[in-house]
Amino acid sequence: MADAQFTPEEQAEYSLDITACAVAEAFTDAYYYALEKERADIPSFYCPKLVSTDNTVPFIAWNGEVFHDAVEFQTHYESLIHTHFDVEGLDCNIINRKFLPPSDVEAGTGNDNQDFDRRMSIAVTVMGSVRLEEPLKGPIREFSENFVLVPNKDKLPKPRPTFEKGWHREWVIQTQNFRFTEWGASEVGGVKTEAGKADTKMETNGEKRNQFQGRNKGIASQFAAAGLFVKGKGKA
Amino acid sequence: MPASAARRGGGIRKHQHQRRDRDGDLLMGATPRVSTPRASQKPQHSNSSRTMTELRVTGWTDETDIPKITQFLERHAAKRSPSAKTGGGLAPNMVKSSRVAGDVLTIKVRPEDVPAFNKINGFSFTSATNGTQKLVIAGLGIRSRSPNDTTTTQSSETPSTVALLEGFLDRRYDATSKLLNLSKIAEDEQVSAAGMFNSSSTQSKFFPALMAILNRRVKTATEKRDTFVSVTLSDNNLPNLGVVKDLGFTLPQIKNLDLSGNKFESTKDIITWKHKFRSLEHLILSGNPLESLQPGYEQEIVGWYPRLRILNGQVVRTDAQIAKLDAPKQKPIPSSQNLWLDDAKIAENFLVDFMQGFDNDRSALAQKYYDQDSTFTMSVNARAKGGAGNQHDKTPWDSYLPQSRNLKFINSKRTRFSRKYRGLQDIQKAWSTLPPTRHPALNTNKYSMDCQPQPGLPDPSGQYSGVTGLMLIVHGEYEEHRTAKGANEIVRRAFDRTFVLGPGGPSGVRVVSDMCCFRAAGGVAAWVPQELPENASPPPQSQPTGVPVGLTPEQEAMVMHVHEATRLTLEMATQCLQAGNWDLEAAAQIFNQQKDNLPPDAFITA
Repeated sequence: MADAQFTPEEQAEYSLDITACAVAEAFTDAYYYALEKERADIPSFYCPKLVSTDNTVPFIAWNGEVFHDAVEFQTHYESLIHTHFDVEGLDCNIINRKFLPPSDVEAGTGNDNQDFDRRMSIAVTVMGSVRLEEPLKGPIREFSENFVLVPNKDKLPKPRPTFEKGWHREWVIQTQNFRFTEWGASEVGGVKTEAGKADTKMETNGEKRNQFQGRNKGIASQFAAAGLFVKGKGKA
Repeated sequence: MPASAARRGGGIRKHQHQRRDRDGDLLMGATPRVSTPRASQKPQHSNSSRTMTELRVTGWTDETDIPKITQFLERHAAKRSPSAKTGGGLAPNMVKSSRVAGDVLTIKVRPEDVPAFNKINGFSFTSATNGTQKLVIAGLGIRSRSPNDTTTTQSSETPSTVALLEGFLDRRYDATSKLLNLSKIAEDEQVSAAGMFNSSSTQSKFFPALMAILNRRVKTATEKRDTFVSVTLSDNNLPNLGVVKDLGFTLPQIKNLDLSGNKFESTKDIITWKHKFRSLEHLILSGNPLESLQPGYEQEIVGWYPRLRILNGQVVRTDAQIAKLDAPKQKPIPSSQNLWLDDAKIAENFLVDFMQGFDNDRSALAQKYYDQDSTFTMSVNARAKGGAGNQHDKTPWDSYLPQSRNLKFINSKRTRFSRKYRGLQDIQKAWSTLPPTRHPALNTNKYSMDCQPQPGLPDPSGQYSGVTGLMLIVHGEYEEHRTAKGANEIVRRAFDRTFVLGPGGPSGVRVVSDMCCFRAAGGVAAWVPQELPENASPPPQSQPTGVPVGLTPEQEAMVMHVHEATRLTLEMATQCLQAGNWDLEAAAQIFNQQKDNLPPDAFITA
């Protein structure tokens, strides 16, 4: 790992960045899987509820709705239709390297200027597409989501953590913001936009897109005919 | 199913005829594949004292062909035997001895070679004199190829077995409670008299046969749903579900199931039915060793069956919880409200300043809000398939990609690190490589903006371990003046930008982290409210819309500048600049000369 071109400060930065990226990747893999398949697990991704004077965590903003409680959010999410997330873009930044006091790090040095890889909070930004309603066929929207992850005091990882054996909630969500950024092509026609000629044009465009979507459906049914995908399989 | 049970019966007797004293042949009838004789699993060293297996070969016509037939068999069996050495040359000596009696050739082979001979059963042997002959091999470990063999030896007991099973079903079905009582099967008089369900091998046949009879009587799924609601399998001493697992296929719709008084030791013994019985409401597992051996097993079981209401007499789910399963699922709709928790207008002022600064003077903007610990990263999502899908603008991302840190595509740790910009100089440098941009006015519907508190940020004064700042998220579209690769055009792009703002810096607000994602523009339908667009967006500043079209970004920036300096409407500001031939000094002179003569509606009112 040591690199001649890096100063010691840069080297430390570099190894922290490696950890942060690994966290971002492992976390998003696990989180979006849970949203699709294991919605009962959702609360385990969040930090314990903590109410203070100027704010309350976890702070979960989902499509404009705010939840201060992971179970509340889970209940809301369980009432939603099938969602399949596909992460297309991912990025992360370290926000506060000293988020946890050094005394909280088990078997740590206790020095305020060390153990950053287990004390830092990380901002993660995700963009991608989300397939609604049913696999392969439903409309796809584009979404953008932001998380701030903080170390999970109960499950601090070893120094220089890797996540080869999966994600075990080493970091938990402190704040979160989800937004749809683009509406599905087949849905655009249904949403009222400002009246005007430009928009009627848009709607005809939307219909054309609809036709394209229809062609996609054909592909899905070909898959089904080949036995690769059975409609309704896996549903109760 | 009864036919298969009968066939198994036939299989047993067939081998009894052959005077074999091994019982392994039960297996042979039950499974389509021949199990390797046990002798082959244990290496035996004394060749001479080994017992050979006798196989009978029929189907040949002329005794003079026997040596050739033996060679033929050896040659083909050797190819299929893992033990025989086939290195070319002579076929190995696989047939140890042979004799002929009538039209039967009896050969002796090693037990481990039997599977190889099984594979060549039914091969055609062609001799010059007698034509093609199909050789049929019979013996222990050889599966019969001819279907007639089994049908002709069908059990004469089959009708009585069917009658027994039907009688059993009749006795055990209670039509009033729609209950199929299969408890204590072994203690049933007629069943035990027939010797069924007392050993594991007969059990494994009894239950599938019972289910087959049931399937024959009640055919459709709706009929089954109406006929069978409850099943009891209590007190059968079942160690696992191996024997009775067919119930899950035959009656998957039952609502009540009693498995008490069996020998299940853990939930692993009943995991076969984890995904069966989707409408199960009431389950009894008491009187099983797992109660003491696996405390807390109830939780796992409740997770298996989404509609389980009562487990061992305890209510585990309320009606409301189950009703929720049937409630129609919602589809997320466009959110009509931005989330804007910014009482002190910190984020609002920052954003107004930022958008103008980013379009006009990035270097100065960075100086104002970024410091040595600020980080900036950007990522390009060139593969957005959601939203507008293939209708996305396909402008190349050439001037962005060298800085993109999209972790989904950039896998090198070094590259990732080198594209993370920390400190003012690095950020200024990164921004200077981005093409000129023009963002639309903030009070239009072109943006989705969220602002929420963000605790736990670093305190530059070092006083506190964590201070609370703001997370500011902006989604929207902008125009770019693209000059890369000789182009000269205005293109539309979309972005998602996340700022984490903390206290500090010369302006009191510093950017802790700035992450910007770029994607192809595909419309803003996701956040255009369906009704009442006026109240939806928080207008940070009242700016009239309607920037004249057909201007370069530089010209538009000048219009905005004049507009802000003079409070002229955008149209008037444009006219003013056009009159001054796009020179700010000249425009300012014209404005000063004309401002008293201008009508009031040339100025913005608020």
